Amino acid sequence: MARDLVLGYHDGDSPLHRIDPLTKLIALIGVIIFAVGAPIDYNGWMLLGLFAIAPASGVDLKTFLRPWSALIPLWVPFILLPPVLFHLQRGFLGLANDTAHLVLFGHDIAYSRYGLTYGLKIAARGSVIGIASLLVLWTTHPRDLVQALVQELRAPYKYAWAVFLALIYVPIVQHETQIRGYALHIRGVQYRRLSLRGLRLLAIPVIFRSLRRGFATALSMEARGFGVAPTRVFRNDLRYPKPLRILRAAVVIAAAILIGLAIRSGRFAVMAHS
Amino acid sequence: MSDVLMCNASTCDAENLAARPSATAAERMAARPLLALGGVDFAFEEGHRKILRDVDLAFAAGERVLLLGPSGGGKSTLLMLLAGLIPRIVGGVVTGAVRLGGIDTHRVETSLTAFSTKVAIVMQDPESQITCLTVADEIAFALENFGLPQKDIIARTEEALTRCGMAGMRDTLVYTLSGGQKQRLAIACALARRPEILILDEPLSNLDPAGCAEVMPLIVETACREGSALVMTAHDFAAFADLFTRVVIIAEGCILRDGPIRDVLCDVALLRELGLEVPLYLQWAAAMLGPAMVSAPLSLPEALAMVTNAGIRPALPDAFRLARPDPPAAAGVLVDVRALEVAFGRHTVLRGLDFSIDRHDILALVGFNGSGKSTLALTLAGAIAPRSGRITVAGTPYRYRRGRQIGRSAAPIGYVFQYPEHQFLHETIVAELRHGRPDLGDEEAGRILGAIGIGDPAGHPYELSGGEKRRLGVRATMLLAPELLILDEPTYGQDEKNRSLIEGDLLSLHRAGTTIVVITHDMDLIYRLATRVMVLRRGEITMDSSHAEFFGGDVDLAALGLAEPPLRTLHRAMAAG
Repeated sequence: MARDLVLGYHDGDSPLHRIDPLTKLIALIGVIIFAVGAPIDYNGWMLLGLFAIAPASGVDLKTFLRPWSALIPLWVPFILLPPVLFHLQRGFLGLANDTAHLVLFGHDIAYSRYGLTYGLKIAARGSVIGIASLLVLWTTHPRDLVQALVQELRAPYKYAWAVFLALIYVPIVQHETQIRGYALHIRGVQYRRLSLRGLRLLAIPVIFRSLRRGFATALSMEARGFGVAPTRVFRNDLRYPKPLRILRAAVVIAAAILIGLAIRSGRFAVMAHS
Repeated sequence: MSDVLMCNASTCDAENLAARPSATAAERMAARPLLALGGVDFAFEEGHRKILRDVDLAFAAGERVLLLGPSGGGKSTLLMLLAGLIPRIVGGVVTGAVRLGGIDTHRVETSLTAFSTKVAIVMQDPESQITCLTVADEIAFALENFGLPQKDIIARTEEALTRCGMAGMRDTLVYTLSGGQKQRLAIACALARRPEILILDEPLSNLDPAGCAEVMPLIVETACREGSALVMTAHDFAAFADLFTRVVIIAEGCILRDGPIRDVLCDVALLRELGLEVPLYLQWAAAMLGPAMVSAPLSLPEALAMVTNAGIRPALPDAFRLARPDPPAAAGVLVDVRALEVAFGRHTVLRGLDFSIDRHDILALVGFNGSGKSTLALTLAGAIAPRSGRITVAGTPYRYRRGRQIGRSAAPIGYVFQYPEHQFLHETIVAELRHGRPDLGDEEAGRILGAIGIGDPAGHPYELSGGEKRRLGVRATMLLAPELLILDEPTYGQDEKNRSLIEGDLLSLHRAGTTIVVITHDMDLIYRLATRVMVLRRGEITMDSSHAEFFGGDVDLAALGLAEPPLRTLHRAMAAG
């Protein structure tokens, strides 16, 4: 069940699974910084690039598309608002000759072409960050990530474990939600998830149980000696073959180039100034 | 099962005075026990009701202690105190002396670390103890925390996996395990630590009978090999009573009895008065011998030998005869299942099931942990959409859209979840009862709650103890008077008194025409109530037969992950003369 969850780790042996967690983390940081810092026009290309990489995650198309049902409503305002707002402020923005018209249900709606393109690019930027993060989450075993942070980056293992718990908490909450959904269905309770009634019947008990479960997990961890020793011994060492180490070096260089390009674009300077 | 362990047990017992079950608490304290409580009181807040009162207990290396007591009597609290979780993690006021390895933990600021290196605890709910993502990682978690050498971590993890029958599940994601498999995993985690004191709170409740028969000797053997003290609570201990040396009975926070198992269990009247489950062979021996029983038998052969040696001819008193529900009248099919296949992603849980359930059937769904019983029950209730196949209830097939059932079932269905909290919808206990019966008056609600031992109707259902939650879940569902009632482990964690209550309620509903599907590992419940038994294994039906065929023939129950019902064993012994 857990392997099919939206945000959780997907068990597998795909090319992306085989890459070590730190390499993926470095690549993700590079992509996110470039997506935010580089000229917005690049995001469309990056999005295409990520779509091209996606099959290497081993995640089937249906699962890959599932988050879009959540992302699309999120991005709709970003796509629809700029065309309208840019049109309203066309004089101030110098877009007087940019107006286009759309006839919808008999109404003529004026909008800014540039605004529409801008909105689409903003959505592309968000999608780049979202997809890149999901690809890393789906293909990185949380334990491997913790181990990489502790053994390779020398991060304190208690903090690294906090990352791990945050990651595994997602499937716990989803599992609780699923079971609660079953119970509501069987007991004949009609509800809509995004309503106050839905919140009371579904979300509040799930949050309550998840919090209590979090407490029980903490209790269990304490009772099993978590934090007893200053350092942690891992059952297995992370060992990666030479090609993967070369890949990591290449990714570090690529990420550095992307970050450099983003800085050179001057966008960060504008953001800092504003 | 204990033959193998007898030599180990005697070695353990001989280790020191403290291990001798007949030694008094004071003698054990003097003999430097591993853990001792002296005059301990505990309340969650100053001035509030004391959950534990004047508790004197000592546990020495090699002891195997069975802790008995009614629901809500303070067993789990006592175990958390012994594990050092109270008051270090679970807050409260503790007075009296708690000595760990001879050191008074109140005088010296003893951290939880000191406890966790010596004491391992398996808590009642195995699900909430899971910390890692895969089975092997979960077992290795504590070993990694203690900084053991890597080769020891690997060796101990592999050993625990193999010994607990989970070798094939090394990389399995823990969220895909069944309740029983999670229980087994929690036990494996504790055994891998090789603690000085092993504390187990109802460790067998979720396990299938075959799992219990496998795991219990393993626990005792590990404890003996390591010279650990074992402290365990269990409602149904009949099958493994002979593995324990000492029994402690706690009720309302006070220690009522503490002594050798044969002496303490001899007081059958006290066990009954407290509502504790009395092994059938013990009940039978008490009925046959009366006051002449001076030492409790710990198995049926022992009970038979005691009775025979006392010059009494073994007989079967009326109370031990089988009172079966009336055979179901031919009333047609209520549920019809054809070519049912259920899968979660790529993982197929149920494969090509074909069966039907007649009206007025009491169908027992049994099988190994993880065989798909709960998934089948949820699918029958319409909560899970199958990948393929058809379910028809009361002549109307279920329809689905986007993985959800459209509309309601043609016959009202009641469902009692394995973990009752999942089904609670309301903020008060009485509102939970009224969910399907809004006309239920205060007086009647109070009477129903009183009968199941719940006092405060205005309390929140989540605040009840595990046993109380289950009783509330069962009773609230029964009040709906459903046409089809599905129960997932309804007697789990219940003492004898409450088990009888639930059983009586099920019989009443059956007489009133309700069709019942019950998932249970309680073989006596199946033997007494079921009209039909269906065995699942790896998502397929391996046997589907009437009660008479199932228990009348030569079915190898152990091979099906089941155990012999104690009542049937007694009947067979009597029949064999």
